[in-house]
Amino acid sequence: MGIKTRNFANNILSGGTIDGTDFLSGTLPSSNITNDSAASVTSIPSISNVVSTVAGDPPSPALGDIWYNSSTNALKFQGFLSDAFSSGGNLNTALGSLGSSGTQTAALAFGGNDPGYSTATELYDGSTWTSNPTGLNVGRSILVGAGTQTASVAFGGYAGGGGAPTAGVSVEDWDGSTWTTGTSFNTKYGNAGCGSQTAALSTGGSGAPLSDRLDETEEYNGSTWTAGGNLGTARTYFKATGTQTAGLTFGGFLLGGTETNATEEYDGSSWTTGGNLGTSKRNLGGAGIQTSSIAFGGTDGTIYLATTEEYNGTSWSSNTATLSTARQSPGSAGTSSAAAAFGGTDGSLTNSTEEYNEAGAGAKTFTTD
Amino acid sequence: MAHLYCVAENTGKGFITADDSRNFYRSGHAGNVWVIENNTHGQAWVTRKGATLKTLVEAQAIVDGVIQTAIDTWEADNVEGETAEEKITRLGEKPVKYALPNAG
Repeated sequence: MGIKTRNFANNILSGGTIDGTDFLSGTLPSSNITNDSAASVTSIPSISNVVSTVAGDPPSPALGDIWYNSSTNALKFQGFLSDAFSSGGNLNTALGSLGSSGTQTAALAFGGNDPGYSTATELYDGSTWTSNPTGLNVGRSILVGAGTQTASVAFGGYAGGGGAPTAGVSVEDWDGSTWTTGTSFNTKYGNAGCGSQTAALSTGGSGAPLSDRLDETEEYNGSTWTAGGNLGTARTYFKATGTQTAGLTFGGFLLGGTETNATEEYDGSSWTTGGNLGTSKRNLGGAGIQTSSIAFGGTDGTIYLATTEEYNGTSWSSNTATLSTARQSPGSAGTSSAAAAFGGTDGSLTNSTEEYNEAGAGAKTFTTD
Repeated sequence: MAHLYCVAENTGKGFITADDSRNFYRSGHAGNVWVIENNTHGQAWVTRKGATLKTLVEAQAIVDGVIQTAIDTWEADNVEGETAEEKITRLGEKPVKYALPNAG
């Protein structure tokens, strides 16, 4: 043991680093370490040789690196950051219960309450929303969308009109600049939708103002709608993510006026039960695929929610990211790692956009707060 | 958690960064009212954004005023022959006033 303790002492170099070329490996029993073992250690290296001082953050620090940034007088380290929302560009028009599709950096917002039935269509580039010169052919709210910024379909919605508001019946296809009337489907609003312009899924909703809840599912191939499997829990004001053959629905509003935490998964023909949301909620936003989705905002029937939950294909768990502005009925776009929430209501209609990003490694600052 | 109450216009991209979200509690409300955690990061954000500090009572009054306007608009917007359920579907639920987070 004497030789190995000698090696250990000799491997603490004058520069404050440890020479690992012939360093001990494995576990050294404490009984083998005596007071004499450290006899060859003549000095302890300065901490300044372990924590480097740099004028700026190093460009590519390794996980666990520690440094002192002399420019900002901050002691920092490379660790895992938490997921977070940050502000995005504001919609040109404050909209609630709007339709949406696309990604965080190429999103599409259309329709909604402004507070009337809006035809507005806006395009997002990750920084700025631009109003499209032309809008939906039928102004409506509580509608859904599926697809991308350049190829989407809008379906369902509530269009009102005169003394007897009626549910919107139109389906409209978007080619990147213009909406054209598509193939109508069963009258409904408050339905959930996902997929693409040529392989979309619509499920649930209401056929008449707050007096029923639908469990029907319809599949769109870009030109015609066909019936799919029925939901296990009929509901409205809920969210769907994923695709026509691997869809996910969560939350919603049940007949009788209560929120639900129910989650269901679709395989292209039938729905099966998934893990329940941690909180029953409706009018929520969400993004992702069947095996990886996030749900944010909404209401539990009492307050507007800022919270986020994430689904892993089996169960939901709380995410630390919270919206700055708690809201219900936002538009949403993107994936479970890069999403956007825009519009909605926080007591009044909002035009704010918030971007969710799943964080990886990044520089963190030691703080005493 | 102690809070700061302030008014600041949401200027869009960059108004609240991901680091801001990690470093301090923040919640936005009607009337450009913001409730910010009173720590060094939150204080720095208030300064950086040129936000106007308010007391809790002042901030609550601003939010209440905006929501009251929304309530008045909602109540005045009626269509002959429309049921209560149809109105809620058309306009959404009637806005409700709520209390801002209290510093405690």
